Formats: sequence, structure tokens, C-alpha cells
Amino acid sequence: SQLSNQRAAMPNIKLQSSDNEIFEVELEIAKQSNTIKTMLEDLSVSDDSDDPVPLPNVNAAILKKVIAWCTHHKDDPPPVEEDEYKERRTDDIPTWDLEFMKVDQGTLFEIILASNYLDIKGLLDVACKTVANMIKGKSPEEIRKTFNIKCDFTAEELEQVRKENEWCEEK
Amino acid sequence: MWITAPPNCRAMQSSTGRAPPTIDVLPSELLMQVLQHLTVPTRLVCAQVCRRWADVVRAPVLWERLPVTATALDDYSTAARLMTLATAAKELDLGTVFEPPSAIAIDRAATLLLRCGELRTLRLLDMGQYTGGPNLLTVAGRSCLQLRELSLAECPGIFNPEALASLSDGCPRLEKLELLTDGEEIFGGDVAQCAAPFCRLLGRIQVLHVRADMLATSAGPVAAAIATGWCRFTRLREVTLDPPASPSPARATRVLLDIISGQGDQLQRLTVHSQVVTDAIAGQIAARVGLKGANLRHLHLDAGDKLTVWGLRQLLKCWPGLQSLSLVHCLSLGAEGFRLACQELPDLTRLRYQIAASPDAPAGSADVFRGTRLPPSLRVLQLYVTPTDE
Repeated sequence: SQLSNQRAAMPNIKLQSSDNEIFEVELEIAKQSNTIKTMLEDLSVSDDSDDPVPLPNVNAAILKKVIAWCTHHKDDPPPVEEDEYKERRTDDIPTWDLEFMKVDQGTLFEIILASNYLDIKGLLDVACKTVANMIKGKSPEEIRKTFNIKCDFTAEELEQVRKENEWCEEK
Repeated sequence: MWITAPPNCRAMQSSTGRAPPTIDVLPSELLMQVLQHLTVPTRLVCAQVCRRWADVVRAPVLWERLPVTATALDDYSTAARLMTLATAAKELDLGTVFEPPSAIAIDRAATLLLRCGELRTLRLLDMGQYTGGPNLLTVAGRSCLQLRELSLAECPGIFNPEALASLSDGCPRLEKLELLTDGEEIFGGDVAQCAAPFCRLLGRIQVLHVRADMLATSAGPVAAAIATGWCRFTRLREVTLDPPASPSPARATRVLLDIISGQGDQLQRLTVHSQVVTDAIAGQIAARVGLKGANLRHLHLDAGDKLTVWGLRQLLKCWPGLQSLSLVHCLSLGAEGFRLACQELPDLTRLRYQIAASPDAPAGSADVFRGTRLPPSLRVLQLYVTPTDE
């Protein structure tokens, strides 16, 4: 594959998707996934063996996206300790990631599932923020429309929920 | 990381090209992660989407921070709902903006606080006591034993002797105090009796954020106690001084000097947002710090245009271990101040510097770099050039 030809000197590992496609990836890139890192370090999956690491929860299309993200972010400094008083923000997504997240909803949710399973915090965060940004500023009905969700409240329940949730104001 | 159930069937289907997954494939724990990026009002909109979302929105972890307005407490059903959420709350903001809170709202706020056993941060905005009503700080001292941070803005009369004693005894972990208020109005009751517990409380504080003159303009007896050295600022790690409310910088200056000379070598971060740091003050700081050795790591001065290169030299001499330095609106320093900072601080990693462009060097910044060797440890440099008035 393309990835394997780029740097012969770096140690590579093979990852196997749920649909049995094999990806050869630089070890350092793959280790951004804590799940893979743990597999290699703790579960004595030898990293010089040729056996691919099986990832039964991630299909090839999504694994390809995940590897692309990890490759772009491989030289990122370790995340700075967040000021604990700081509010969570969703408007700080880097441009590259914004472009990267311009995918259909199905892919977006699969990226969330995959980054959670693979334990890649940066990717999970940016994907969750992307969904949060799709929710912001919408009415309940608009949210249902956006995500194709059926309203399963009875009319009474709906009135009740509406009443219950009127009490806070934006600070 | 969230422990989640294995991906359900719908997620698997997509890989074989059938129905694309919808947001329903996200397990509740992951939906919750999405909601954590949203503000409280938006979360409440989400609760009205469908049953599953309503359930997820009820998760206690989403309610660790409760921003509550006094008017919300006026409504009975709202107040009742808040009571059920309060037990999980780690941060509580209680405030009012346009009109003073009603007596009912303050009574309910007190009841709410009684349930906040897990609270770490309490912020009160204009939630003073009404005559004969409960004092919210007295209540907090009884119920919020984990409290670490207290922030008060415009709460007239809330510091009375009983409240101060209650806080001081009941919240042993309180370490951060933010008083965004006038010294004169925050004390109530028998003010003479406030001085001792207030000084005791201050002695425990590690992070202090006040108006520069707040302590010095406090109601008479408290100010007097502070002036005569009742306060030992021995544990302060971080101090932020906002611009003084009164036009007299002398009082603000004295507090700054008290803080600097009162602490041992604990103070690590000092931020001064006012013009109190002049050459004369810099000289006095140097004289006091020189005696005890200092560990200040972060210094931020804003609006100190009465500070010249001479004064800066005094400051840098007593704090040679600075790792970050930020000089904003200190426009008398010029290019020479920049060179001085680079020369005198071997451990500097972050430098923020503002310089005015001069008629001979309209670019300003180009002039700054001439003959300057940046410290090898420097990682972040932010340089601002202010155009000259002409």
C-alpha cells in the first residue's frame, strides 16, 4: 500500500479491519490509539511479528479515515493541561479537522464509535464537537429533522418536558 | 474513555452498504459526550427531542455545573427540579442581573445550598442577604464541606461575622477567593467583629482575585486590621489585582506591597491589571523581595505606563526565575525593555510584549530585535505593535 512505501526505515505494524482489509501503518502513528498501544505493550502482541492486529469493530472505510487523521496529527504536542475553570468550547476546531469532518452523518457517527473503541481522545473530541455544532441554535423539531429522529413523546409528556426545562438561562 | 456496549447491528450494517447509521448508533455515554460540549440551555432543548435524549440529559454528570438565576428560583416547580439536581452539583452559580433577588429566591437558594454536599465552586452574583433572611455563606459553611472556590460579585453585606466564621470553620479546603466587589459594601453586621475571621480566612487562601484597592478600602475596622498586619498572606500562590474602584492608587499600592512582603516564597503567579506598578513601587518591591528570595514564575502587568526600564530592571532582578512575562500597555518600556527581559531571564519560555511604534521606527518590532538575543528556552513570543497617535 501507499503508506508502507513511504518510510521503509520506520517500524510499521499491520492493522486488520473488520472486513479483512490490511493497512500497514507506522508504529508511532498507530500508537495514538491507546487501545492499540495497550495491545502491543500489555497483551504481548509482538510488534515485530508480521501478524496483523485485528480490529473487529472498525471497517476499512472508517479505518482509512482514522489513519489519515492520526497521520496528520502525529507530530502534535501532547495535549496541554486544560485550565480547569475554562468552559468547554466548540469553536476551536482547527481548519484541517473541519475539512476532515465534512463527511456524511453515517461516517461521522462511525468515526465517533471507532475513535472511542480505539481510544483516540483527540479524534473523539473533535468528532463530538462537530456533532455538537450541528445541534447548536436549533429547536427540538429542527434537531429531529437534522438527525432523522422520531419524536416518541406523547403530547402530555412533551408538555411536561417543555415545562421542566424552562428554568435555566444562558449565563 | 467510556466503556461502551459493542457496536450494535445498525453500525455493522453500514459496512455492508445498507442503511447508513443514524445518531441512534451512539450509545448513551457517547451522546453524553456530545452534550457536554453544549451549554445548559441547549442541553435543555435536547431534552425535548425524544425519550432517549431526555434520559441522557438527566445524567448527573451533565449537571455538575448548575447556573441558576434568582428568577428561576421564584418558580416553585423549577426550584423543585433544581433541588433534585443539586446533590450532584460541583459548581453552582447563583445570580441575578437586573433586579435584586426576591426574599423567596434567597430562601430557596439557601435550601438549595443545603443539598449541595459535593460543591467545589460557589459563585454568587448580587445575592446579598435581606433583613432577617438566611445568609448564603453561613449556609455554605454548614453544608459545602468540600468547597474550594468562592466567588462573590456585588453581594452587599454578605460578609458578616457569623458568615465569615462559618466559612472559616466549615470549609477547610477553601483555597480560592474572588471578590469582585467594593470593599466598603461587602461587610455587614457588626463590622468590627468581621476583621478577625476575615483575616483568618485570607491566611488560608492560595489563589486571590480582588480589586487592587478592595482590601484597603474595606469597612473601617477591617481595613485597620489589615493595615496593622493582621493578615498573613503566607499561602498565596496566585494573585490577580483588578483596577481599583477608587481613584487613589496609594491604597492599592500598599496592599500589593503587603501581599508581596507578607508571603514567603510561595507566590508563583502575579497579575496586576492596573497602573499601580510605577518605578517607585518597583523599587520598593525589589527592596522587600530582596530579603527573602522569591519563586515568582509568572508575571503579568497591564497598563503600567509609569513603569520605565529602570523599574523593570528592579523587578527582574528580584524575580530572575520568571518563566512567563507579559507586559501589556507598559508603553514607556520600548525596545530597551524587551532587550532587558531577554537578557535577564534565562528560564523565560513565554514572552508577551507590547511596544509602541515610534516615528523613527514605524515598524516598531523590527527595532526590537536589533541586537537582541532571544533566550534559548523561549517557546512562545507574542509581540504587539501599537501605532503612534500621529
